[in-house]
Amino acid sequence: MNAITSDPTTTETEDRLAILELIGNLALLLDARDWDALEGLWADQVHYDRTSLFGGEPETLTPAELVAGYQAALGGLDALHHLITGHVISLDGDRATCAANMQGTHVLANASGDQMWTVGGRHDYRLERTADGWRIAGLTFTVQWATGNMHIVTLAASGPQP
Amino acid sequence: MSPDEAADRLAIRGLVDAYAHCADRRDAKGQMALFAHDAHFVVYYADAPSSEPQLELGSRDELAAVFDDLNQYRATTHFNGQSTFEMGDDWATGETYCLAHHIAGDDDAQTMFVASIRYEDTFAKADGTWLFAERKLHVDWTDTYPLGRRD
Repeated sequence: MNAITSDPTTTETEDRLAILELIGNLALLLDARDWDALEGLWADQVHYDRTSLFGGEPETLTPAELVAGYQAALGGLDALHHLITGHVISLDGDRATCAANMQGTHVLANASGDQMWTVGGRHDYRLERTADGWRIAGLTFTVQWATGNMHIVTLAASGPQP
Repeated sequence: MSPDEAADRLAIRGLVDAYAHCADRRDAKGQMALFAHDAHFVVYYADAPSSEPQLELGSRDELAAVFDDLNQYRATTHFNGQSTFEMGDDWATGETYCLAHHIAGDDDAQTMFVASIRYEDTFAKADGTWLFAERKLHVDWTDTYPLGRRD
């Protein structure tokens, strides 16, 4: 952990605020299911790793592929709430990392079980400065706990519930 | 707001978030390094029979045992909420909300203990570095429930 110093140069202050807003937008746009705007948050190639939750291997995806996956998995839920807090940002020129805690709450009324699935853990971001500003170039989710009915995500992806 | 004040506010929020970051990773040395050597650390539980602090420490070194206590849990996740800060020149005060999640138990019977905390902080800046001069933890409420699948 680096010492917590304050650097009044405009660049560092602006970079930190821009990264906080970028990650804030990830939560807000996911929860709003605003797929078009969501696609604009990412670098051209994104290292995406949710293997701690779903197994498999990390992927390298384009923003369109990434958002299509979100839409398929989350678009059918009744509600979605992402809480991302405790951002610890390290700047290195045109690159940066950010570690944060994340809680995702998923809601789907269904006839077969609990209507909520909540998962908590850590987000590790890799960020890049592009001509259009900071973008997310990598995201790893490390699950720490989960509670509720994970099957609602599968149910949501299968279509409207009776 | 001046650029200096903006940078200081960011740095102080960074300090608050670094405390949670180190706690969740069991980085006790890193967590202790966020405090002044003569830092004051106080814990109050709202449901305690007395309004007196349930824990009161007066130095950075004494914090090792407090942070070591987190090792009883399988994992913790501190979700820091909103902060408000009052800025001085080389000092500041502030309050930050937090929902601290603590997971305990074995694979077959895990429990979640959630503590709603208000951190009442005093910060000091020395040689450009912000540190906690005082951290008061007000535990306003807690909840414990079984953790796991409810299909």
